[in-house]
Amino acid sequence: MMRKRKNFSWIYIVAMVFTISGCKDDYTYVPGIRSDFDPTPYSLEYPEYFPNLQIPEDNPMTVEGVKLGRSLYYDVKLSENGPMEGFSCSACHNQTTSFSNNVAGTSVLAHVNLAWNKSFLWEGKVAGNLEDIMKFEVEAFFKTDMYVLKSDPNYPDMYDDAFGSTAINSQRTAYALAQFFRTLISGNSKYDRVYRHEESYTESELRGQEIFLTERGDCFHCHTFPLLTENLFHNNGLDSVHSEENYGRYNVTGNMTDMGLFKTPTLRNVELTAPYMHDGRYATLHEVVEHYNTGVKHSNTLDPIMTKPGKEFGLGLTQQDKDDLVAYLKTFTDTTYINNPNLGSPF
Amino acid sequence: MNLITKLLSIVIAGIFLSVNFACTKTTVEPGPSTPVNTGSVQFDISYEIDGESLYYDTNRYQNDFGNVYGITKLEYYISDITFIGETGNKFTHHRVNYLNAKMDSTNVIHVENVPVGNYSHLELSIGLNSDSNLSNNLPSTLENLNMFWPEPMGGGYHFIKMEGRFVEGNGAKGYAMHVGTNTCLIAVTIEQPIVIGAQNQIELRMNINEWFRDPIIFDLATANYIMGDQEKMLEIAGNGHNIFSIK
Repeated sequence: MMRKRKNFSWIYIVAMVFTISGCKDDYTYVPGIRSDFDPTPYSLEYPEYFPNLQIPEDNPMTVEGVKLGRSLYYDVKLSENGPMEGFSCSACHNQTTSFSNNVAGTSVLAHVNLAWNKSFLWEGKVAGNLEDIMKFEVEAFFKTDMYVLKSDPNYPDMYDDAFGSTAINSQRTAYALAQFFRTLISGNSKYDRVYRHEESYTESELRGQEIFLTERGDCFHCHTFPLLTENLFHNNGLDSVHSEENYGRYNVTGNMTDMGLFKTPTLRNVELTAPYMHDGRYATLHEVVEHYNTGVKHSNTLDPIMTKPGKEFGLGLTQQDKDDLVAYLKTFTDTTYINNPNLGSPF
Repeated sequence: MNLITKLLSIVIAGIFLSVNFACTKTTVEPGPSTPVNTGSVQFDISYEIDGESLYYDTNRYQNDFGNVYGITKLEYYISDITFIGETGNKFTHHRVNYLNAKMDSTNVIHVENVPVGNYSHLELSIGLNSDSNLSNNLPSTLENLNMFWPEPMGGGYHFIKMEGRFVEGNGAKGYAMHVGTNTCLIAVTIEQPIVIGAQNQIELRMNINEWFRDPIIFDLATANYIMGDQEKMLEIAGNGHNIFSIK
């Protein structure tokens, strides 16, 4: 008796459909990796008192990945044919100013220690890790034209070195940038050296530290050790009525209790990152200190930290107190970071 | 396997077990009827305000004083969870657990090797005892670093940060209940008997209004910010004795 042959052709059709549909998504498709792909592990170093750093399993740190990311950071090809044409990351984030800039009337957040961030941008528009924010930068901010990168004489080989094939897509571009961003670590300021008992504060800096770390100034609640930001959002009393450009976190959550809240920026290298606040309204550190001393404006979402009994009319700092506090803030400056050749332009 | 190999295996196993037992941070105080077998306990922590579910960032709750308030932040530590038996025997799990009411993953506490049997009640601390409450004593996670208590103010960690806003006049004002320092360790007693078997799941429910209730009826308007105010921190710490119940 002959057995009836079963028809399995439908299986092949289904497999083809899944294969083709997988190829259409430029971000998630992972091209074949060559069998001899063997990138060099990158040893990321940071102070032992920094929080433990989690590296995503799908984007391990490699020398080749960091090299590619660094090149992309400084390359205007990242923006060619896009809405930010002519700009690279470094156009607005200059190493000498801790990867921010000093343009009046604007305020870009400094690129420092972002590896520990869980949300990004002043309003926290992007949540997640560096891979998530870089995806936003590549796809939404720069709208990077992959064909521009593919046409470059060097990038195909650099992508091959970093990811095991010459294929260039937005995911790999974002991942390379994320690897470079992870190396942007500042942990050798005087603040760090004093913590490590390698150096001592001056008398003025010590007085400033006392203001920073006690109820007198209460800076420590938002600018926590050692990252000098707790990566949360606060209304720090800039406005009593919030105009649309100052809605802040409300623009992301739609929650009225987030009206006027903005991300706590790190104070690392704050001496270098003027102007200050989300809209760059303060040009100097003294102006910032004076805001907290006498200029806090009340609104329904003013942070509870700003409403201490006895402080309703300001901190009551003398001129000497303010000078001391600014002196202490300047101890967060890390000259090795802003002069590190490994972080500068490779071109 | 010859006799020497068997004996060597037993010795090695014995060394391993003794080292493992020595490293476990628990204490057992025997009583007249000390349980021999042990079980595991999973504590699931949940939150309410006098029976109402907790919703953040909305001023919808009212405390005994009459403050209408909401909650924007609730972070704290639980440590020294102690099971007290009917005959006086105790089992204490000393580990310091970080909890954030907004982070589900932190609201589960696992306790292993609890002697099976009947217990009359539970005790625990909100905060860290003086042996643990030292700067940099906890792992360097983002959460622990953000809970630092400044060195000039005593060092160690915040025991609890509870923040939010309350209605005042035609607007709202913030409050920040930050408690720390060794004298303000918060002792909680849960006067409910429990039976521990091999595997146990216990829901601990925090009634947030208890922070403002007993023995001090707390008025947020007169003391909206208490860090550094020893008297007010002690009032909140004292009110915490009844903060949890078993559901």
